[in-house]
Amino acid sequence: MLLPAIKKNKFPMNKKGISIVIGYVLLIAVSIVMSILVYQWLKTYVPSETLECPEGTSVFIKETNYDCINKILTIKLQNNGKFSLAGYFIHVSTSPDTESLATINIFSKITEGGTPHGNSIVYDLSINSLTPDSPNNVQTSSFDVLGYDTLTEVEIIPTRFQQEDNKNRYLSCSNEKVRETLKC
Amino acid sequence: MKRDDKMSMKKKGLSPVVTTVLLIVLVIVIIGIIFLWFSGMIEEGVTKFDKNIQLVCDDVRFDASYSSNGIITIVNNGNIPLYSVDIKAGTGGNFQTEELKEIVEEEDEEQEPWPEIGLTQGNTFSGDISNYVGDDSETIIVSPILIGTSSKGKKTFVCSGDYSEEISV
Repeated sequence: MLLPAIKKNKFPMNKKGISIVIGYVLLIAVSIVMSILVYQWLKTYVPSETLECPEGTSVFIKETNYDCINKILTIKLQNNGKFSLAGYFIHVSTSPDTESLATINIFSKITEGGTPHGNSIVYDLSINSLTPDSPNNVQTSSFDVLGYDTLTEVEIIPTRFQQEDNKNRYLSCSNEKVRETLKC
Repeated sequence: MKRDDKMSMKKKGLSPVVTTVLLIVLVIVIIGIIFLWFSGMIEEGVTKFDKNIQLVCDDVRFDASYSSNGIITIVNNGNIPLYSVDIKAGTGGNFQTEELKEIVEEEDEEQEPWPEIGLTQGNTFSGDISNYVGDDSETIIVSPILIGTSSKGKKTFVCSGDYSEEISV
C-alpha cells in the first residue's frame, strides 16, 4: 500500500499575517495617494513666465522744461526701443540730494499730453500708442506742480499693455527707468 | 475510483466578478482615507497668481530710502502689489523686526497709514519710523510681504534674504 506523499506546506496555516491581496491593495492605494499629493505640491513650484516687459523696451527723456515761476513741468518722451508703450509712471523729487529716491507721484497733476490711468499716465486707454516709429514715437506732457517745493529730479518708468494668459495686463517696465535732473 | 473534483461544487466562495468589484471599491475607499489623512498632515503651499508664492518674490521690484529725519519711503516699481513690508532695524547682531504698518501706527496715529490693500503698482508710501529705528541702528532691512491663497484662506509670506533691501542709516 502506497503511503500518500506528505506535502510540506510552504505557508503553514498556523502563521498569521496580512493577506497578500490586501497587501497589494494597500501598496497601490498608498502609491496613488502619494503621487497625487506630490504632484499637487510640485505643481506650484513650476516657474511660469515672469510678468515683465519684453527686452528691447526703452524710453528716454528727450527734453524737460521746468518753469519754476509758473510751476509747470513739461516733459518730452521718446520711444527709442523696439516695442510700443502705453504711458509711464512719473515721480519727482524735491530733495537736493540727487541720489535720493523720487517719491512724489504727480500723475494727477497732468494738464495735457496724457490721461491718468490708475496712478500713472497713458496716452490712449487700452492700446500702446507711443510706437517706436516716427512721428508717433515722441509725446509731450505738461504738469501743474504748484504746491510742491522746487523740483530737483524726475523719474519715468514706462508702461505697456500686454496680453498675458488671455488677459490685457498693464505692466510697469521697471527695468527701463530713466531719471533726469531738473533745473529752473 | 474517481478522485474528488478539486473544485468541489460543495465548496463555497465569492464569484470572481464580485471579488473584482469589491477589490476596486476597496482600493478607492482606502485611497480616499489615506489622502484625507496625509493632506491634513502636510503643510499646504501658499500660491499667488497660480504659482508658489516663493516664486512670485522674484518678480517684486521696489525701492526704499530712509532720510535723516526718520522718514522711510517705499516705492513699488514692479507689477506685484506689496501687501506690507517688514522693517528690521538694529546694529551688530541685535535686530528687531516689525511690520511697517504697525510701526507707523505706533509712531503717530495722525500720520497717513499704510494702504489697506497694500502698495500697488507705481505707488509710494512715506512714514515716520524715527522712534523705532532709534539712534543706534546702523542698517535697516526692508523685506516685502506678499499675500497669497492657501486651502485655509489668505496667508502672508515674507520675501526675505535676497529679496530684501538694506539701507544704511
